[in-house]
Amino acid sequence: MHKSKSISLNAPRAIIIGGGATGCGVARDLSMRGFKVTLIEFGDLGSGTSSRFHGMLQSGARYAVSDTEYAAECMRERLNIANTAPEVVEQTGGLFVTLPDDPEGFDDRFYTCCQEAGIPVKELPPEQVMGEEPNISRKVLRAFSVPDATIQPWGLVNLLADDIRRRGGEILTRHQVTDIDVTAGRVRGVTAIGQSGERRIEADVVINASGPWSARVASLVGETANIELGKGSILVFSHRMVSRAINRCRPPTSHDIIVPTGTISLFGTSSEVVDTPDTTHVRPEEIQELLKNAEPLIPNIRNYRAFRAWAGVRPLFRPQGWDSDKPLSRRHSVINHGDNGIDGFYTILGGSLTTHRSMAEDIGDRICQHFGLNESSKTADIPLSKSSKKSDWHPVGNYKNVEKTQNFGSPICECESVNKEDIVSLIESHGINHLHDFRRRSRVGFGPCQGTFCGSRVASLLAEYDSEYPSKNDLGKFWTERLKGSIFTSWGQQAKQLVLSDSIYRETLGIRLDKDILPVEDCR
Amino acid sequence: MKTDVIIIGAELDGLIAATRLVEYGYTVRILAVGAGSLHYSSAGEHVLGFDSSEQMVKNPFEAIESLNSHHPYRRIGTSNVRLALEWFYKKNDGSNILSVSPAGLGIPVYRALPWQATFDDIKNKNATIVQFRNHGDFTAHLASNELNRAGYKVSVLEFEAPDVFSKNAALAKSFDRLEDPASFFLGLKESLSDETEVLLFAAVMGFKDHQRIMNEAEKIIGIPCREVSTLPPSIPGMRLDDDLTSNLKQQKVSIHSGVKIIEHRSNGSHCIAVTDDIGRSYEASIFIVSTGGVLMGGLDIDSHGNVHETSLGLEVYQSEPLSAVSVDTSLHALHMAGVETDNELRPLKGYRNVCVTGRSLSHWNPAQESSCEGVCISTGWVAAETAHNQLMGMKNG
Ligand SMILES: Cc1cc2nc3c(=O)[nH]c(=O)nc-3n(C[C@H](O)[C@H](O)[C@H](O)COP(=O)(O)OP(=O)(O)OC[C@H]3O[C@@H](n4cnc5c(N)ncnc54)[C@H](O)[C@@H]3O)c2cc1C
Repeated sequence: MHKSKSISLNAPRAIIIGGGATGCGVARDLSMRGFKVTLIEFGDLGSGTSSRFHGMLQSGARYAVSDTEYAAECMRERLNIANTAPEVVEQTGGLFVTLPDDPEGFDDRFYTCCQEAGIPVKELPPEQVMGEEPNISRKVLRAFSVPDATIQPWGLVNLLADDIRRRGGEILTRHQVTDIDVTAGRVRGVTAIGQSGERRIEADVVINASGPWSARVASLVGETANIELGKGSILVFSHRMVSRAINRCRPPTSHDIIVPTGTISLFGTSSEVVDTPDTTHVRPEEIQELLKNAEPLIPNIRNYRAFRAWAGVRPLFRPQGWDSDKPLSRRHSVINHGDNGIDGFYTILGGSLTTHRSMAEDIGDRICQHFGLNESSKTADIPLSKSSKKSDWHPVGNYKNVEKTQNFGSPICECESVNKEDIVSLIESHGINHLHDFRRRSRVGFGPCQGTFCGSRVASLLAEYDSEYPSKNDLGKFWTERLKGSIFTSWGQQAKQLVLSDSIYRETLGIRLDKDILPVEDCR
Repeated sequence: MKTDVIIIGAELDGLIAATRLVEYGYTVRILAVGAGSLHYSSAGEHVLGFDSSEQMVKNPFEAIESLNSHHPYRRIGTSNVRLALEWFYKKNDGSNILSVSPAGLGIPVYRALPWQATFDDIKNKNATIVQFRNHGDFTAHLASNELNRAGYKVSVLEFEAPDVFSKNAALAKSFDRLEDPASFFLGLKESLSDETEVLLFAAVMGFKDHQRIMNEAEKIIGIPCREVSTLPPSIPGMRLDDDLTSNLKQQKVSIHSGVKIIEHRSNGSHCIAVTDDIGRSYEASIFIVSTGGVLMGGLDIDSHGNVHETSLGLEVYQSEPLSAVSVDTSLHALHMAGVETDNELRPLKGYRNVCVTGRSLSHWNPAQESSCEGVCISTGWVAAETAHNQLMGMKNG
């Protein structure tokens, strides 16, 4: 029953706009239900909010008090994803700690609500926790462990994409949907513009899964989407300062989580409502706020090496008539634009990366209903992983691999231990020819040196395979893009690194900054 | 033992100041945490490659006037820059030439190093770049594609290095050790296409025996052989470092490495002695701060964005704000931070017997201007002149 079937000729055709976790999840769900899917993504898969995030596969504990039902959904999805895609999940575990300033009594409610939501919560003695986590405050009053985990977003979206392709679906990256064709009250297809020109694609149903850009995409057909854009900024530190994701035990606000992921730690997030989804600029004041607010939890934070900051924009669902003072729920919402006379056009918003699968299941159910199909979602049951071995993703996997294969010969990226062979196989098997896309798949340029040394090495490998490379100052673009994140943290060791990087790129290589992308704003 | 001069830091500017001061016959001591940034430098002698609007500069001296008025070159004056460079480079014709970068791009240098590849070398010629297998710090394919696009004729030859090493320093030393260079180059010659008219190597062709190796290569292969710089560490930079320090050691200059200066003693207007992090004190009449700016730890930036001078606690100029507005302005602000001085390189606020040189000076941007060696050499030279004048004054008064 689970074997992939070829798509029948009269299978309904679905277009999914947006290649983040949501769009990839929806495309997989629908292709498993027999739809012929085309996923269209503006940039590279997972280059939107799905990677500008905090890295957590939530147990739901964070929302246990404010929205117990949503917390329970997170917990179910957390288990499900760890089962179906273990190689992108690291089961770090999570902690909630009460510090002297945190509101009294919240921790007791937290404990009860976790239990109600089905989240296995356990109180631990503060001395034990402070012993296990030497970098956190010595003032911990109470501590609770919960099964929070971390997830590698690009690993996830690429697993989803591989599965979609295996089932006959098509994925168009670097294509922007610029028009949605509606004739006689029904959606007929979309127009997408890519490097090789404009393309019109027909469809029976179009799903807008463009995250924070949803309102913009809906407006292509004069529709609205009730979205609130919540920008969050995150500060990146080298090393894993903590071994588990650590939250303050207080009502979820800003600046209260530190997450170990890969070889680094993420502290965040700031939060503010913004009016454009393209805002990836981190203001200097936000950095100071982040540092200041991190100090109660990690007292020595200013002496650690921060090497980057980024911001993402949450596509939060804002129900009509929502009391503006209350924080918005993290639940998702599906808009059927058929209700406004555009049959076959749907928008999905809200939710989180953790719940991308249940969101996809929900919209899939509605779309099947629309077509009168009796297919139920199979995404919870069929593993996404390629191997049957259920290995936990290990952040130092690259290093282990180097040791195992005794391949010390040709390191490309020393920070993340990526070898020449890894890059060559990406060139040969995936035809990748942008430095940025290597980074997302292999982690080159992720580490503290931020591409200072590996950028030109990868470029030279690309040049070996493609005599046209490098076109359009690709190396300069890559370097400028890396700088856009690391310039926010120009103090201490990272200031030295930036000056070194600048002298290597400009003085030694003769590369110039890419003027087109100098302003630290994204635009699309 | 008290010396006439103490130089804090072993940057190019410090080594130049020391070299000049021993010419005058003074006693000099160099105190440094470790090797200077010559180990990271790009090969070549950058005096002024680009003006402030990033236009390539033909005559560096003429372009000095277009720099900001606090720029080190403007502070010490064009005539001093000329004198210093003439003293060091034995050249005064004042025009730039284009060297070939490892990305195949042009970098203006005031004088090519011996055997350094320039665009003149490959013009209208069939060039081959040698990529030693597994040599990760060199990017021959990138260089060749870029040069071909610009209309040059360049191909890549992958070749086994004399040893399995993949790192610059180890490779360079393996050439020094090579017992029979003639047969190595003969093997290389056989792999070359007959059309090759000029051969480009990564700048790893020997460390101490560089000259001998390159002479041998040209003799055996029978065509001009050149070197293209690599990713750091920079062997040409290390060769220069080695030349300068060996010469200084011969002149009895003591170079202490592993010494981090964190404290000092003064009489209010003059610095008397400096103390390192394990409490050793060193006395001198003059102190030269050649600590390499942000890059080498001479300047430290705290998490609030304030810049500190780390050896003597000198006041630092910093353009407001250091934080990110856009990538280029923030990078620029990082470079421009430093100690502001008078025309003789004495800090505007601070001790009268202190000079500051090179990357620790404010108001210049080596990456944007491609001016690193020029500023380091000329400020090192001027600091030595200032020290000389002061020491003369002390002796006479
Ligand atoms: C700071 C921050 C921290 C977070 N932390 C967590 C966390 O720890 N755990 C968690 O589970 N969730 C977290 N979230 C929430 C989570 O990241 C998002 O809910 C989720 O990634 C949204 O995914 P998406 O696919 O809907 O949107 P996106 O990932 O933004 O995908 C939308 C895609 O649509 C594309 N697109 C836009 N317009 C067009 C067009 N016209 N044509 C084609 N493509 C288009 C975009 O390029 C983009 O790739 C966080 C969010 C933020 C901002």
